[in-house]
Amino acid sequence: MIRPRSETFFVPLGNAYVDIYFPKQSAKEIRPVIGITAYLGRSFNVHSEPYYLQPVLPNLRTIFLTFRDRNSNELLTDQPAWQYGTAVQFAAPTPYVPVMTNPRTFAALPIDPQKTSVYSLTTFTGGEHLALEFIYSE
Amino acid sequence: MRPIQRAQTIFVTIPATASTGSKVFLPDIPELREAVIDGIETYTDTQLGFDLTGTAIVSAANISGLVLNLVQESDRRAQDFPLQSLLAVAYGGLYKEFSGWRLNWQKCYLQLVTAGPAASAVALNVFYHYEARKPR
Repeated sequence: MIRPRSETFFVPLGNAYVDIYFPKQSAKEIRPVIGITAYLGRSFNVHSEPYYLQPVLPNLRTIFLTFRDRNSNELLTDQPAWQYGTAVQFAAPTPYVPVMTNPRTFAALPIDPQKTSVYSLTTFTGGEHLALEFIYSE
Repeated sequence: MRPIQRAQTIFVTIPATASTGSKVFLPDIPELREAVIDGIETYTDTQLGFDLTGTAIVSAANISGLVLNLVQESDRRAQDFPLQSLLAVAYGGLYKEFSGWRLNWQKCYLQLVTAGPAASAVALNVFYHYEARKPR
């Protein structure tokens, strides 16, 4: 997918059965979203702090995402996180296996990142984060 | 595939008492009553472990034991559609698209062709949009 612009959000995961919202940010304009990618089984170093992503199975398959607009209208509801992954590492040292080689596109949705929530059926206690990339059309 | 405008996941619980031939009707979802359907995909427990109540999603071995019937008013638009065909992960992420159906969700149902899927849940991710009905 061509990326005119993208932004990756790191959501700290915690208790199960609780809606976790994206971290607060300074006010930004809402950009139209045409693609979403979840990064799995990798670690990032951002702002000198490591973010560790939970290995894919079995926990990613217990995560749901709901995306809302600025007025809290639900645009994409109870979406399994799996569908946004493009590569999966089942167990080290197995190399990454492509799962969604045809990522779906979205109709320039006015998703407000701060109204987006993560709902997990698993409790995370190791400081894990979910990295979610929004691909914008402009 | 057309760009997605809206999406809603429906969860259907297959009772433990269900057997070959049993029909399980889909729930009423208010957001989908006036929706025009663009596509549907499903998952096995490899991609999605549980529904929101904690019921295990149907396994890869048992998903072939289900067919889906989609009804618009009284017209069965999809008859005995193998649920396995809706597994996007089996097609590199491509999901099945439909040509703008407005479904009567409470008349739509899953039917067991084997007893294997009993006591599990099915997740149907429905991609849809809203548009005004054309005058007759």
